[in-house]
Amino acid sequence: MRIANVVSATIVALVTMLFVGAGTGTIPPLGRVLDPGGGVWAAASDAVGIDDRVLRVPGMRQDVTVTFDAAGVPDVRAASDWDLHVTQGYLHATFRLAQLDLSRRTAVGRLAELVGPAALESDTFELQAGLLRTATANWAAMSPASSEGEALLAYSRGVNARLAELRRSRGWPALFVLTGVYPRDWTPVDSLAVQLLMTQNLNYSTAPLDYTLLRQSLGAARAASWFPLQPANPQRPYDVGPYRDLGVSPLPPNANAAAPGAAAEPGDPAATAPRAGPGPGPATTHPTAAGSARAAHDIVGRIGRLPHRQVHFYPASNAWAVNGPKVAGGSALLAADPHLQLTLPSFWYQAAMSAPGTRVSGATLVGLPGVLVGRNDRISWSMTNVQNQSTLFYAETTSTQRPGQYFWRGAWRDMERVHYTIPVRGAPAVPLTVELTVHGPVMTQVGQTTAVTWMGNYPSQSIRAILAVNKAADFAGFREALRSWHAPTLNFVYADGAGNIGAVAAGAFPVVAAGEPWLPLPGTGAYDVVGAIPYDAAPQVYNPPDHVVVSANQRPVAANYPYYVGTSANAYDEGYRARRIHEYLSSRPRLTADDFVDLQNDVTDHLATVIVPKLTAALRDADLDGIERAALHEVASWDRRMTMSAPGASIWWTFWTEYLAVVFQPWWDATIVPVSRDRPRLEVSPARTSLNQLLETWTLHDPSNVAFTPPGQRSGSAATAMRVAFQRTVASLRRTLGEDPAAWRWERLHTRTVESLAGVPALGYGPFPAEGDPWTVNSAEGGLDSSFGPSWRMVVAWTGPTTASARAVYPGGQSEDPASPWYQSFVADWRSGRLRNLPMPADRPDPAAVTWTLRAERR
Amino acid sequence: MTEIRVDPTSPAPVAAPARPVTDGEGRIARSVTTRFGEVVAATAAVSLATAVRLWFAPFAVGVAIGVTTRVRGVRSRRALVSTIAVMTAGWAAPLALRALDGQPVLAVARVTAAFAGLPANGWIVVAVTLVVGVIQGLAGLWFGRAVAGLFRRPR
Repeated sequence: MRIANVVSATIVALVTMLFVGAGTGTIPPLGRVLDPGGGVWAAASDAVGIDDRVLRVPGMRQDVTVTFDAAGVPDVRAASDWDLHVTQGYLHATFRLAQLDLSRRTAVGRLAELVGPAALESDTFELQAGLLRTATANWAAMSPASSEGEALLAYSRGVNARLAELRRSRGWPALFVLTGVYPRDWTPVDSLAVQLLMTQNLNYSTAPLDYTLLRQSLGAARAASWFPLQPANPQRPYDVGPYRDLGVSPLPPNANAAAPGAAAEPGDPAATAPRAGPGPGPATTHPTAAGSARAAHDIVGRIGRLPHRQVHFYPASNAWAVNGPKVAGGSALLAADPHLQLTLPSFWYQAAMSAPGTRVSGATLVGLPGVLVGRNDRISWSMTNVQNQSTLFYAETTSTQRPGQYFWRGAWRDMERVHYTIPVRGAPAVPLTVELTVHGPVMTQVGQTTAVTWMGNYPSQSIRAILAVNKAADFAGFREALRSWHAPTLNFVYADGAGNIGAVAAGAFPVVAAGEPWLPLPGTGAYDVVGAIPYDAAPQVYNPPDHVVVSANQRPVAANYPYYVGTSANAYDEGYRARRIHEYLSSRPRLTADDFVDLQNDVTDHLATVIVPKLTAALRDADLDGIERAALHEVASWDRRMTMSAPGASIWWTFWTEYLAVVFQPWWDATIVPVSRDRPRLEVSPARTSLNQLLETWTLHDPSNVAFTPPGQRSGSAATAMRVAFQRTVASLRRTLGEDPAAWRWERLHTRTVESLAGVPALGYGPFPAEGDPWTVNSAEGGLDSSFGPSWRMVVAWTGPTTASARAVYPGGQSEDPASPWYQSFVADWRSGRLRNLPMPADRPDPAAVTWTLRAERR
Repeated sequence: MTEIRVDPTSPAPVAAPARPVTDGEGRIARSVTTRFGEVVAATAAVSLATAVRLWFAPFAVGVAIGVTTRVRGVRSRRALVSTIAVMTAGWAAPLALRALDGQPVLAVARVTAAFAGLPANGWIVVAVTLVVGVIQGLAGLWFGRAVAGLFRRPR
């Protein structure tokens, strides 16, 4: 009996201690994790806040002083750029370590190692897309002694100094303690991969594949008419010409493509004829419309399941500048609000930094050295997404008789193969083989072997460009610094203390040898990318005669621009924000910084201003019931502003959604557009830029367009469609918001959320009622619960060559630790439209501020 | 009748050596003060061990409690209660000290709960923390008593 007791007790003790000491599956070792002396509790001591410290940071060459303001914004004073970037890496790793690691893992395809099988699809996509291969190639081609190479090495040293501290103290953020998966050392390749992930966020698009599906359903003629090369509605490009055709600039080799190499075997794929009669299909698969459609189905379906911040989803950003007589008491004004997914922590970390030759303040991007959006002593800048086409898909010719080969330029060639093993937390590792052709990675072999050429895979010296911008003193220097910027293509908007303004679209706009690049192209070699639009021919403007530069993702050039930059099916904005900004800037003779802040928070819906009068006219003689008449009164008397208290805003937004459905859904249904494959990009909704532009144009100028008469229905018009849409609107709002139109306030439908970057809803902010919609300057994209929008707001008012006042805010805080008072300390200001002071590096440190002295290690 | 004469010059009779007080079942009785002191010492051992991240200290102290109580013949129910008290207090004390130091213990607990997919209530994680300490202690208690019982002479 005693023996049995001992045996039982021993077994229980062993099992218990193994469980709490080692964990099992996805359950962490609770004994270690919850030990009050360490584990997750160790983070509590860091979350209190910071105090004066002297820190030894390996890799520093001389001492650096960092003073923090009450919100945790650092002012870094260093004796060299090297020490500046070491410090920047150290600060990012101190306050945003989990964010750094998550970004890196996402980019290099190691996310499943941390979060488990749920991330396998993401890892598979990223390894196919080749961010790691491209980053590795970029680093291999970079001289460590170059400004860019040094900055990346220094930044890595800073991150690793912090990692070494944490390995000694074991005060890791909770994410690592709970998973038991800790970050490895940081390398320059990691920074380059994170930069590529942001590039992918901004320009990796499946537009040619979606266009294929639309074309297959709607038919070639209708698809071309409804998703045209040039937008249907009026545009306000910032570069109105005259334009220059300067030929094509060469591109460096694609780092994520197979080298052409020697031909495996010359041949003629046409000689392998399809077999007639029953039996197996043709040995050689030539590109076909049906095959392309099946391939498109597969690729868009998979990409559609990725998180929105991994591929390009929404038009993003405003930036505008004025100078000369448009500025009250000053020389130039700049306003900036880049739109990204709103997350806690934010993509941005605010800092002021100085070293000999460098004095800069603004938003840094976690993972990279330098200030991406901000100002120095003489210039200020921001950027918006150009939205041009940056992905091209190639239908490769393959043969079942030649496995692993494809036909290109007259010969069969071997695909290059790269093998990976994807580690998965709590599950066996998964093998992956990625095949490459000269065009890029093969994304599918379903229906049609399809490879993708993505401009992000061409080596880009973006870090060098930004570091040079940080030091630029005028527009010439600014523009020259951006010559080496390849991806993503961005409209850089500029204002300086000398009173100059401008914009330049920096980046590689691909040029193909032939064909229709808005569709998948044959991969035979005759339709390949042959280069890019020369930088001197790219969209740009400097000191325009009307003293106004506006970029809000609208097409930056007019219809007569001599190069292809994408269709309306790409993510160009409809132009409504740009038109509203122009309208506001034109209506005021002399503008101030406060005017710019007001405009950043403006919620006037330009489309509503032009369509609502047509709606009220169409309903004038309509037979409406009491509630419908009350709703009509609300929208007719509404001021077209998407404010929270406005019932007219709810009616307008619901009406436009219904109007699109009334007009287009019957066509979608009749032609069976496969919406389920890529719902966000294929369904009829206000997110379809082309459809908004068409419906606006037809309503205003072509109310009898054939589109208003779907197949099998009576002849219709804009007026009849609007009446039907309005009745549906009222019925819908009655169901959801009750019987009183006066109570249909926009805040009851529309919210914003700042999501947790870690995907933990309890650690996000919101949802909260919000004003705005995707077309207002204060933009809210991503549906009725918007999580995309102004991720950073900044206004810089220049009053002299080296004097300016600057303000900025972002919806987050300097710390990623939810227990820290700096986690979401700026959200309230951002939500209220208030901007905070954006100081330059101080000449002397504030003796009352918390100060860190980072000491170089003494030998 | 026998007279008992006490020789005035002989030394006073020596009292017999004290024997431990036992209860009716032969277990050694200890004062409340002593028992309380032992509980405090064990609690302190568990708490102090967290300072050097000996996360398994509850198990080790539980083994010690188990051996000691078995040797002394302490009832298992009393040992159980003592162990639960020691482990709960032993892991609660460092958390309380952090909170008194101004550290956002509950906030950290809430964050941990959120990451773990639990309702974002910090008290859940605090409770789980204490339970983990107690479970270790109880496993150690059983083990210690079982091993000590092998060597205890039967009554």
